[in-house]
Amino acid sequence: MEMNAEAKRILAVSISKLYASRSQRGGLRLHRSLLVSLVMKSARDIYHSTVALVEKAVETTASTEEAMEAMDTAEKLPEKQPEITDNTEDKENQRPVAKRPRKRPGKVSAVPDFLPEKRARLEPGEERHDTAQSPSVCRSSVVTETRSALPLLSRVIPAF
Amino acid sequence: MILVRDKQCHTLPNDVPFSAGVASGNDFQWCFSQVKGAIDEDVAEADIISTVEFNYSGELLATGDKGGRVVIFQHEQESKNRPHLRGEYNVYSTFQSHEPEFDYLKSLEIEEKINKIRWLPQQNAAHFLLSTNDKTIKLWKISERDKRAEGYNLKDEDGRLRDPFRITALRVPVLMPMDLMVEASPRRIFANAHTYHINSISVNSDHETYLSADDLRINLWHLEITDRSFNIVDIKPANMEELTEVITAAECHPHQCNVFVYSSSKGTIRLCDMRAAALCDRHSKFFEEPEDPSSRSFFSEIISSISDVKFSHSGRYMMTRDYLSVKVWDLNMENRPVETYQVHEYLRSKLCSLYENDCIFDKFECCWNGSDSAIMTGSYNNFFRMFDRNTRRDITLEASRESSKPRATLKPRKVSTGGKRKKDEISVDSLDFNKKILHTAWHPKDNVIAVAATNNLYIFQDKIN
Repeated sequence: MEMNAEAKRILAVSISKLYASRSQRGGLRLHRSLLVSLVMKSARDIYHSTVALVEKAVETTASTEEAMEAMDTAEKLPEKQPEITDNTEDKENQRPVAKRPRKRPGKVSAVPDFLPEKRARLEPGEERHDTAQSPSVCRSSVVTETRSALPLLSRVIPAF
Repeated sequence: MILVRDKQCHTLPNDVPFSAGVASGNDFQWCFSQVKGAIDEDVAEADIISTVEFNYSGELLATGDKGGRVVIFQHEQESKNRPHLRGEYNVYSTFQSHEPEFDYLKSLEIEEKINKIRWLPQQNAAHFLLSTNDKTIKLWKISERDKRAEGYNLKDEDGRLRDPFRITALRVPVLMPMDLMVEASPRRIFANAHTYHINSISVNSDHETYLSADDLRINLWHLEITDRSFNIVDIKPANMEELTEVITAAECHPHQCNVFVYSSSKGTIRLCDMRAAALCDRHSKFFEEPEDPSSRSFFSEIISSISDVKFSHSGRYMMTRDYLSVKVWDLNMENRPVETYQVHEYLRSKLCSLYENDCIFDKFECCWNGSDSAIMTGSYNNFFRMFDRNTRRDITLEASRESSKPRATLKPRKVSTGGKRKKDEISVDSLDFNKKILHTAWHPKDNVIAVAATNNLYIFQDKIN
């Protein structure tokens, strides 16, 4: 929750900065606007990925059966390894593919909007732990199609 | 108007050296020499110094301010009465370089703030410099006049035309001595070539051309031609929504007139060779250090943006300044810098507040000493940092009025970086972020430095014991 709040606050600060820069003497500074927009993008990505992670966590804890299934998959994986070619890149690529059929299609990726009741059920400590451990992973797993929710975020406002 | 106030150096009786300075591999202390500018606490925006630059000999020192003025200081030779002094810098010429303008087509005001000053190598008795604001570059001639012509045939001494009927004989005008006058006259005005804000100008080593860079383009000019320039770099995407980086600084190589570099907001530097093609959109070398994924934050892009790039005098190295560090690159090694110095690493945990108060957008510049053995850059709380490249030692000094006693040795300062704060250390929380040193200059031959602290210009020199 803390990470979410931080990202939200940075988003708000960034929007106010972009707004203020329009009335700046000497015209809008492209360099500054670009940097602000990049911060906004980071904040947006982290905000969305945090929420997505939380939802994933809720989903896994909600169904014990599913959790057990996931553990089974993890145990079986090393056995499968010899079958996979030596190329490590392939191994990495194949893992999620092998996992996918065993898992129920995730609601997180299917549903574009987040469910508020699920977020409310989360414990703040758990969420912070998740995001702090792998911020870069969070960034890469972001759904970029959510741009419509915050149309300004990744765009630099051209000076002219 | 900048008020000028000098403080003269006098020998202190019990002046014991206590700490090593950083430069040229030799230990010495930096001592206060002069401070210029108004003493008032209330600083007028127009008086804030926006650029500082020594000329090639170090005899002249130019400053530009947010009010569009250029002040030139001249080094005066040491007097016999005060042999411990190597002379002082006194005002030589002051002129209004740029005025505020209004772009009616874009409905935008163009600020008069001087973004950069670059001296031209001296060719004759006069001095020439380029000054630029966001849009227009001007070539100024600064020359002395100590004689004036008298005895014209058609006009009298006041310049009024004489009655032709009263002219009965022809005479040859003569040059009469007069009080020394320093004139600054605009010789060329290079306008209308930049759509975005000019961040750099750099005179080429051929002494005939120079380049000017804005956020998206770099233009090459001939110093004599104002109505034409060549666009050598253009990184503007067809669709501005796809913009991911901007040009932040550019500089010509000090010896090879075909080579220049430009830095970007992504923390990369591109070296271009003008012999390869007329358009240098494709670089010859690309300098980039891989990002440490563990240090990623919301502000990674901002703090990796390069605010200044400077070639060493030798031309072998270049130095880049980003928000938290300064890096030295060998032109022969593109994958990582050969030296990295942390300027104020303790601010890494404060980036969020620095973003909120806009300090994170401050553009710190950096400079080399004359022998390329030491580098200098600014920080907050009127602190500036020096790094000795040979010994890898660093020092933090402060430009403050408290320590501006005549010939006072500058005491090294320390910022406590967590844990228990020792005596004489300053905690990060008590740093004044309104007092920042963005612009510094190092004399090309001597250990004399000029440090711009808001509206004051401090001059320090090494202490001769």
